[in-house]
Amino acid sequence: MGNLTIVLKDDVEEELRRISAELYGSRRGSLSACIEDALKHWILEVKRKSIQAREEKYVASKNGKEVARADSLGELGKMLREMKLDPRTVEIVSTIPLEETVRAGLRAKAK
Amino acid sequence: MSWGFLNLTPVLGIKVVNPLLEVAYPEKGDLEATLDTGYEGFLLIPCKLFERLKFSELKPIKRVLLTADHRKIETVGAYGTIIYPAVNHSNDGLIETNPSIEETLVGMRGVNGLLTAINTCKKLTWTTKC
Repeated sequence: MGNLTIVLKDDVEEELRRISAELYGSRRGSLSACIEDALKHWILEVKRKSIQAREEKYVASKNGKEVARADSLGELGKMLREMKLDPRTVEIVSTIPLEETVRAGLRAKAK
Repeated sequence: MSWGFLNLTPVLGIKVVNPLLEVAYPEKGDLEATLDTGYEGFLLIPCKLFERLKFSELKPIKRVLLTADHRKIETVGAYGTIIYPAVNHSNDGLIETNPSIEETLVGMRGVNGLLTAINTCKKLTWTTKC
């Protein structure tokens, strides 16, 4: 684990501490956890934008090995059928990484 | 192309497709899905529809949705396609489900490439390609 010394403007620090306390509580290490999550989100967003600028692709892998790559899911499905590969046996991912957490709208309710 | 409101909520006509297993719902016409601008994902559907479209047979992708009151909803998803038949447009993305989801919700990633206007005077959602 690394230690970083950063300088923030007062208003940013105040807001950060307020949000951190609200979402992560006031236990030891909660501010670090908050900043780490925020940075993870930002890094992912930067990666997404950079890949989006190049174009999204869909990749099928079997046992960790790439077996097909296409510009769309329709095309990927066609390729798998031609290769006689059952889509149920492959892992499909996008070249644009998925966020681990996204906001749900007001209509989505947790039970 | 325009659709009406469902009570006070704007809806869009869509077809949901699993292009990997070649299943679509509905087979004819379209399904009125709620446009949920607060949802940052692609498409949320009820479990029944997820299973009917055979997304449950594909390798699951898990993630978490954060509700407005900071509660977490764990979802299971698979990549699929939304088709907007009326405007001849489609988008690929992660289609998610959870037992608490009772309606089909199109998120902001689901409307990529569309220009959508909400006409509250006529209670219409008007959509075209950008």
